[in-house]
Amino acid sequence: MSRSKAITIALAGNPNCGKTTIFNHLTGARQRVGNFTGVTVTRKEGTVSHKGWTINLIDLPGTYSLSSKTVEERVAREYILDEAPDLVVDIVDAGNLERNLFLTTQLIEMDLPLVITLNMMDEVRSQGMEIDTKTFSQLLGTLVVETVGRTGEGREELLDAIVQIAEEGFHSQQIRVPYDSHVEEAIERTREHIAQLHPGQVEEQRSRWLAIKLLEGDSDVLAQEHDHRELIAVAKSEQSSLEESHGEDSPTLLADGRYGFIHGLVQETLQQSRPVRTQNMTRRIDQLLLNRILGLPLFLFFMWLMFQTTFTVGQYPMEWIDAGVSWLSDAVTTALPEGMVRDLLVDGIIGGVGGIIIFLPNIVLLFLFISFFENTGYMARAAFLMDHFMHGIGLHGKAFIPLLMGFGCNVPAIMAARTIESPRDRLLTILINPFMSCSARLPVYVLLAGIFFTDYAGTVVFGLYLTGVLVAMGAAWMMKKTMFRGLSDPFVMELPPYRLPAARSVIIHMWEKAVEFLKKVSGIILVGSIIIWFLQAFPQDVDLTVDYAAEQNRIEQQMDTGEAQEQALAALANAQAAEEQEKRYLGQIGRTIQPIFEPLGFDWKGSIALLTGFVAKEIVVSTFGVLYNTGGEVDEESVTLREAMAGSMAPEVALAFMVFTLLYMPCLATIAVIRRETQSAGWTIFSIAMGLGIAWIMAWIVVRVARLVI
Amino acid sequence: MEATLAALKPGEQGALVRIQGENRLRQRLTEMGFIKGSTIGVDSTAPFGDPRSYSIRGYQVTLRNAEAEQIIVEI
Repeated sequence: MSRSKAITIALAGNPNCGKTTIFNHLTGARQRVGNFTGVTVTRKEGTVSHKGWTINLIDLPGTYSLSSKTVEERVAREYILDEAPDLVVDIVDAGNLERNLFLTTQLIEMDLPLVITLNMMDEVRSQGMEIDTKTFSQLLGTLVVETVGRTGEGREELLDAIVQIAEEGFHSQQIRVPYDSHVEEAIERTREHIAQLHPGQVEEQRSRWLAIKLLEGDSDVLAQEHDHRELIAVAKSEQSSLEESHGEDSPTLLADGRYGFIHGLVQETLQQSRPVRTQNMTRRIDQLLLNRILGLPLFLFFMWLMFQTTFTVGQYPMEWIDAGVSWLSDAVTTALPEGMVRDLLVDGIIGGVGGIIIFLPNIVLLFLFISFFENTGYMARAAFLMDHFMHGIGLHGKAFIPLLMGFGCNVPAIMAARTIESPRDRLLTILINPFMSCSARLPVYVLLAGIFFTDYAGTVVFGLYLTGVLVAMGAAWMMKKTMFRGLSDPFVMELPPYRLPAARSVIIHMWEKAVEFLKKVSGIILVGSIIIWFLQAFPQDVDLTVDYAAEQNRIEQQMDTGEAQEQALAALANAQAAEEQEKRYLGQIGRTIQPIFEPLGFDWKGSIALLTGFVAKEIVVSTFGVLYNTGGEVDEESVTLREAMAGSMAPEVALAFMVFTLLYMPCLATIAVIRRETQSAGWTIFSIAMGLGIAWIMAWIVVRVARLVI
Repeated sequence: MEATLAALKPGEQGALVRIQGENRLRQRLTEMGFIKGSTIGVDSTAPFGDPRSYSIRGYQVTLRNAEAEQIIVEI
């Protein structure tokens, strides 16, 4: 047999060109999703077999160019240069030829075996246009395939083209993008210099690319060649003499040349074949959705709809998961003998992970909406509508949706921050996201506001949400003024035409997010749950002030069996649980750190509750249940817990406690996702520290001010 | 007559003369097809009058007014 017939192919293209849809059509569900090394740029790989060839595909991030100015561009370029795929498939939105072909000219200059895919041909045809693909293919010296991403049309032809090139052997196109004669002369002189430096090693086409990049002043290529001082000096002087004689900077001069070439190409190949009454759907939809008066209310209505649907529809699968988790923990309880292993499994692992997995339906549903907004083109419009407001606090318009999602759950919200291209803006959006009061904090507010502010509980809860938003805005503003100083990224954002997304793409996207979430649960949350369980289960034999076993015997003997005895026994068990809780490691830590909370007025019970809230904020309520002797099986509506807690805190302390709960470190799942999305332990720690610091200060202020008012 | 893109009203259009301001904005715009002579038209305006969206080369792109002020067009 000959060598194995496997090839690696990279998909490149502009954002919104339908690249990911084509990738999904080619590979189906056989995808591996990860990150490019060291950066938070999604890397998707998949495999497809065609005519005896195994084709490995990699979906590069969507970019308008391959200069190294954004993370995505750098990642795409480094992949193409360093990992040298056998072939690059350049996906071009045929309805937007000129701008899409800019990237194509760069790929041609990089001297790569190339297949060009003219995607979204259905849109071109419906506009009464035709592309002469034969001429197109001749002028660019590459195979050209027509596709329709939404329907999968052209999939076979694309695979055939790939295999054809693989069988004929890979070779470059020998097509040159011609520039202005002065620029050509400068390129030629620089190129000769490169050829002398690397005799026989650099092919002509590649040395031309290097020369162009040097003339463009590309920082990565300059750094790479920095040993060759003479070459750099030559390139610099060529660059400045070009800029002087033309009165333009060199990147503009080169872009002029590329667009000139593209313009000629499009002139020759794109024809209006039949007259069509221009039916610009996008324009008409935008008249409504981007209307200066209706635009914002409609956007807020869509957001409301997203939350409403997520939480009402999500209710059902949440109940199933809850039932499944209880069934599993019951099954394990029955199957295993009493002891530590069983406690670890049931209380630690199943309880801990189960308590977080229950949010899976919400996360999946939220992402269904996000994916729909993104694929229809509405997401960019939302950013457009909100940008003025967001820019005021130093953020990008796109940051609004992740922040809003934070009201539901910070985990998907932080994951959604990936739609923000600028790494700085993305990081800032991630860091302030935990201040958006997620749904898990609501039970704590309902409980405490219900007890201590019965008559105006609603106002207090609303005030807390507002405080969260204001703190987020303030923190963003402060960070922008200090650590993130400098110019914010320009708001140059494409508004793609409205398109009906392929159901397949939406579902695959949703599936990916679910898997991402589950991966997190299986890792850090599992470990975190075990640690917290350990802290509240050990040391096992603590010195108790009461001999509970003897007391239990006494009750059983002295009282008649019946409701009274049951109640007495339950009270006793609770008292024992509370004392144990207090004396175990977690309780010891709670007591140790309590002095920190002294100025805020929190007692050791509050301190412990806040500690357990580190796993998930709603646990604060069940911890109070244990500590106030009403058992762990309580919720925020529980009357017994409310009675037990009434009078245990001053109202201003309760208010401060709620403010602290709102602002202090996010739950374990959020920390896990911050770590993952920032790829930095430093920023994760910073986020936790900032949350704790702000929570303490705000709670302190609340106590002081409330004392004066109440 | 030369004017900045920000000065144009919705529905008006102009031909690009030059882009001023910092390199980053200029290079990004250049890559996206803002080349001398390109026709740029004003489309929608966001609720507070900023940003606005423009059409160029058959697609739509948003710009804050501060950015549009750096773009000089001939009308």
